[in-house]
Amino acid sequence: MSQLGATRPDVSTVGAPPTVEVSAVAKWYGNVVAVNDITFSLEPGVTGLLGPNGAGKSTLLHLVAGLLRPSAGNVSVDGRPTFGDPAVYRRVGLVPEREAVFPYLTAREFVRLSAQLQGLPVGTGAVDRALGTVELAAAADRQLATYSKGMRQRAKVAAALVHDPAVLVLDEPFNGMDPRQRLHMMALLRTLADEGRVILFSSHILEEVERVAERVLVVVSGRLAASGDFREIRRLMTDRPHSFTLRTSDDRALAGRLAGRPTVSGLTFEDGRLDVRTADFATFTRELPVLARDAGVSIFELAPADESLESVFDYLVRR
Amino acid sequence: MPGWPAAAPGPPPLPRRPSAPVLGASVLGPLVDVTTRGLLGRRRILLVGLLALAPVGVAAVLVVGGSIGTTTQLTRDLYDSLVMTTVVPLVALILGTTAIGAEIDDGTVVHLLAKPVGRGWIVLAKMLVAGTAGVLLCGTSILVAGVLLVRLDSPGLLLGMLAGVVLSVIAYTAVFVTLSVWTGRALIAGLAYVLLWEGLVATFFSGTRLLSIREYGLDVAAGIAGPEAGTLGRDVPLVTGLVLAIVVTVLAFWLGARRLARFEISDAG
Repeated sequence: MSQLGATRPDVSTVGAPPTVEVSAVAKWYGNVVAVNDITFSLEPGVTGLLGPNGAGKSTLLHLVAGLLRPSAGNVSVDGRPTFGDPAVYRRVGLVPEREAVFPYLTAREFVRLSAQLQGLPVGTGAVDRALGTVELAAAADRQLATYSKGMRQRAKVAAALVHDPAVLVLDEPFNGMDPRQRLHMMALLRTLADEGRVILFSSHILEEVERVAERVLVVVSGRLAASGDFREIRRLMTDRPHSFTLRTSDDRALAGRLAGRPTVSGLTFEDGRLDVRTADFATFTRELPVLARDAGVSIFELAPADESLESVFDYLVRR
Repeated sequence: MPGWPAAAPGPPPLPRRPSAPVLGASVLGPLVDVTTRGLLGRRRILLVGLLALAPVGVAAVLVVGGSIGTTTQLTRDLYDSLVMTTVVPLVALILGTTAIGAEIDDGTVVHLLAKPVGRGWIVLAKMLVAGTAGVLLCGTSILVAGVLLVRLDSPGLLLGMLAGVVLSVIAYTAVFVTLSVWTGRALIAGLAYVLLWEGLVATFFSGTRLLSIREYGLDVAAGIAGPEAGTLGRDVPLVTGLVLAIVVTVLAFWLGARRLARFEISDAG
């Protein structure tokens, strides 16, 4: 980086944005593959790591944070491999998922410990600043043991932020937070990203990722199922084949109308129930009421058959 | 997969600290501090305290019961069969495994590992705290028990016993801290070492005594006690036990630091 400064003297006091590279990374434990052949790179901004529980999100974050050794592939921050190099923590802050904190410390002591272990000089105000950022200043002198889950989460964020890291990795940061805290944390992540940081956080909740991340990595069963702009992922998720279960006054009549439509890719009816598959969600949902009205059929019930997040992930994997 | 599309040219880059090497001795204070508070904050420290006090209790019972006349021999027996066989290794085992093993178990060790801190300093802090606590507890205990039994009539014996306790506590805690870094079952492994190896094998096969921390402590105790050692007397000279204990301690530190430098946290998901 000193070379960069030499060729561009006007930016010698500011740094290049951090780079995080994950290339062909796999992690396995014996026969169990936790993460398989994942490649991505991160730039400043918020990236959401989305996936169901047990998909390998934590493993991936720990690989990025240098707390796990890749079984194959490379993980690097600013070009340096993260595993086995404690110096990377000058650039990286980690907020682990596990709630565990030192219960006998106050939040201030916990954040101060973090500052000391980062080699920050005493009295720079970094501790108070970090506590203020997560809105814990008022409660800072209480023992962490007395904290709620959401407060502990914020204390961990303050500890991870105290040295102003360029890369912030958060594992399920919204777990245990109430809606207000959640909004505050989302705003905080946005602010930190706008200041040029790389933020990578995991979540199994689509809406959380949608609201705060501009880029998404979808991980399912240890594989990267999709990645890119959130709208792109959203479209993939909407355009996938959908299944509906219908209960109507005349299944047979409605089925006859549906059968000819190009939007309908599959039809079965049995036990007074009509199952419809469609490849074009938007058109189908507009067409259906019209077809039913024309056929003089009343729809008693229309229920999506596979709206669970798991089925969405499942589709992305098989795609 | 290729990288993301180029980001909007909005925010100014972050100020970048010159990348300094990993932190050194300056972190020892904070590490010792948090480890000490963690140790004192756990309930099992009470158990350790009670265990360490056992020799004092036994000595008090013997004095009240009036076992006069053979107290010097009683003291040696108490030292050999209770203090060095049970109290010292168990106190060191609990302290050593609590100092870092408990943090690995509950996940708080992440807050120490995700810092630009040389791994050796973390291990050193753990060993210092566990060792100091063990020395204070067991050292006080053997001194009080000894004085209760032999008054100040056998200063050489008292000093020898104290030195033996201090040396073996330090070596034991170092080994058990490292064991905790190497395995999640350090308590079981440590118990197996103390009970099976030192308790059985090393007792029956004198050749294996060179691989027993308990023996190092007894060597030093007997060496310092000199003629007052009596039945504690050894055929191994003091310096052998001393050197071996130091070698074991340093080796334990080196292995612990090495392992922690390649440590992988275990909560995958």
